[in-house]
Amino acid sequence: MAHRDGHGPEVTPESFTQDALGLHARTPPGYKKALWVTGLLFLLGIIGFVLRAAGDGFERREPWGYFAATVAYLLGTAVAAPLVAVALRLVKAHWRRPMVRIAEVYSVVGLLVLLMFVPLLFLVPSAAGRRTLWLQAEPDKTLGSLGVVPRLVLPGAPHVYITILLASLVLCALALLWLSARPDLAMVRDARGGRLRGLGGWMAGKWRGSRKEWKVHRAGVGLLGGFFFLLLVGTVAFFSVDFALALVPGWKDSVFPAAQALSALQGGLATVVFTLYLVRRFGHLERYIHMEHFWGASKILLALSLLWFYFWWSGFVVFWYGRLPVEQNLLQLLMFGPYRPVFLLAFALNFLAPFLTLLWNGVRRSTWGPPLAAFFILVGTFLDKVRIYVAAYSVEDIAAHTLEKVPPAHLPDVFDLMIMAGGVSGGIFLFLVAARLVPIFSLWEMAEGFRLRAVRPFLRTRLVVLGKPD
Amino acid sequence: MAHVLGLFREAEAAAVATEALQQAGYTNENFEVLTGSPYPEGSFGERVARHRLYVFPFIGAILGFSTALLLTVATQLAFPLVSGGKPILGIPPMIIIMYEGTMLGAILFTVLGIFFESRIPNMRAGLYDPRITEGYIGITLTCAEDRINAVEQLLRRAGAEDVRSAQR
Repeated sequence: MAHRDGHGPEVTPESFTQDALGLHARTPPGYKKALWVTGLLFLLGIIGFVLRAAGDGFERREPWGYFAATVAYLLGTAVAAPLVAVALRLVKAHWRRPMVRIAEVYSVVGLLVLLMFVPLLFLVPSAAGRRTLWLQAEPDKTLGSLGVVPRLVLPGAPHVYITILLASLVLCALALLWLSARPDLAMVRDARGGRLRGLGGWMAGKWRGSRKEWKVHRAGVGLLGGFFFLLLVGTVAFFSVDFALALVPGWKDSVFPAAQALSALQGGLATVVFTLYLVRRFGHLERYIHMEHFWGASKILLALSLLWFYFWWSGFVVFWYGRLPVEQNLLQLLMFGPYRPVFLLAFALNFLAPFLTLLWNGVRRSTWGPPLAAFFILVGTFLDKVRIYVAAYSVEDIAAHTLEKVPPAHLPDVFDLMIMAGGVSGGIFLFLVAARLVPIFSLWEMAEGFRLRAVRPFLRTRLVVLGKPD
Repeated sequence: MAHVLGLFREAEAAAVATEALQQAGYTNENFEVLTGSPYPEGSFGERVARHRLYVFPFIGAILGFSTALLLTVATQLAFPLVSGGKPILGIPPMIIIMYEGTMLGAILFTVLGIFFESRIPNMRAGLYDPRITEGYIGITLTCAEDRINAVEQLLRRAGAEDVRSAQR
């Protein structure tokens, strides 16, 4: 395999498939170690959760702030990751191919989020008698200042409706993963050897690769991808309203849910880019994952980082300019009061650091620059969720008219640390397990890419020529 | 009736085989091209496959929307409280639940549609060979039992590396 003017080594679809299936059949020692470490940390997190529940119960919200932040973090990063595959397929970006399966495999983290979401439901009271987006309110209460006036009883608000949203999102993501991976699972089934052959065969569901099967496959992936996008934005937005905004009296901010949805797009892409780097580095897959893949993602990451600032500013400036007592208290609670260091770090890592890193052409056009920016974003997003959710969960009286007193900072204790480490590790653990069942490369998409791509001479240089069937 | 499967190492040979089959009087209804990864439509001179998957999410979305509309309207009419002189049915908050119902219905019916259109579980899948996922192109053909030998020869002449047949 010879390098061709920096366009990567020449690969045939057949040689790639054989190589990738060989890689999939093996579990390297480092991979096993990662499984053990993340599995043990996950267990530690479960123990932390049990001890927290036994000690504090579900009466008070304050002890659960870091738990809620962890759930929001997983929702805004790993669960959002499949959107990268959806969006890049939609715009037919050829550089998507090595990263789409990584993005889709993160769907399994949705199951963990769905489980962790159940205790949160016990911590949020019914929508009766307080400001929410939902239809439920006690008939004798007037909630006229909302613009939208929910004044009638709809049972189960907000719990039932946010659960339906999240469950639909997870169902959609898992269906997308299964459908997209079906041809690859057939390859695993047909490959000689490998312990996971039987399971692959069962999940492939007698896939043969007929023209109709490919056509239905393509249409299904497109449809489920579209639904996933529609659901993700709504779920993240409503989750942030029900589990943060509605818990702080007087916090009325129409930009916040949209900012959280935008943060999920940024977090999802950062998750995929950083994982792509790890897969390339530790899987020794430099021959399949090149600079162009990181370069393509880096431009979107840069744009999303700028948008993060724009959305944050749009929400912030209204409160800052308004200067009402409640608005000043909200700014204190969420940004400049007890959580100021956390906010400043989140601001730096979500906007300043990725912006200043990806601003440079040389950094953007490298295999290390975009993952570095992605790492900043992943840390920054966690801190951002901490300052929002821990602050919101530390407010005692959520039915009050306004936030009159800013509660002090709630620092994490040992259980909180166990829960945070366990929650994040649990997500990584599930990803690692799923990546053993489903090939980490979208084999059919990579093979198609190799078939449609060629390097041809042009005057004194060589160019990549892409075949575009549509 | 009998089923014949020809395996081709080269895609070009498979395309030649489909042309030969058409010249021999077989139509697109009789044969099927099997590949391990997607090829652009029409690569083998085959007809464009048709499906009805798009109908499923549409039906699901209508059902989900209708259910959510019924739920929200019925609950509000069951407690007809007028506040601030506003109408009984508050449309903006209803939209959220109707959006949820629509999406859930569309997703469930899309998954159902994928199962239906892909014929899962397919207990009577035709001939298949694991080499197809290794990069070989498979052409399966349904023909009369007395035509098996002729079809096998045709496929071999076109460049098939291996030909198998089965009777049903």
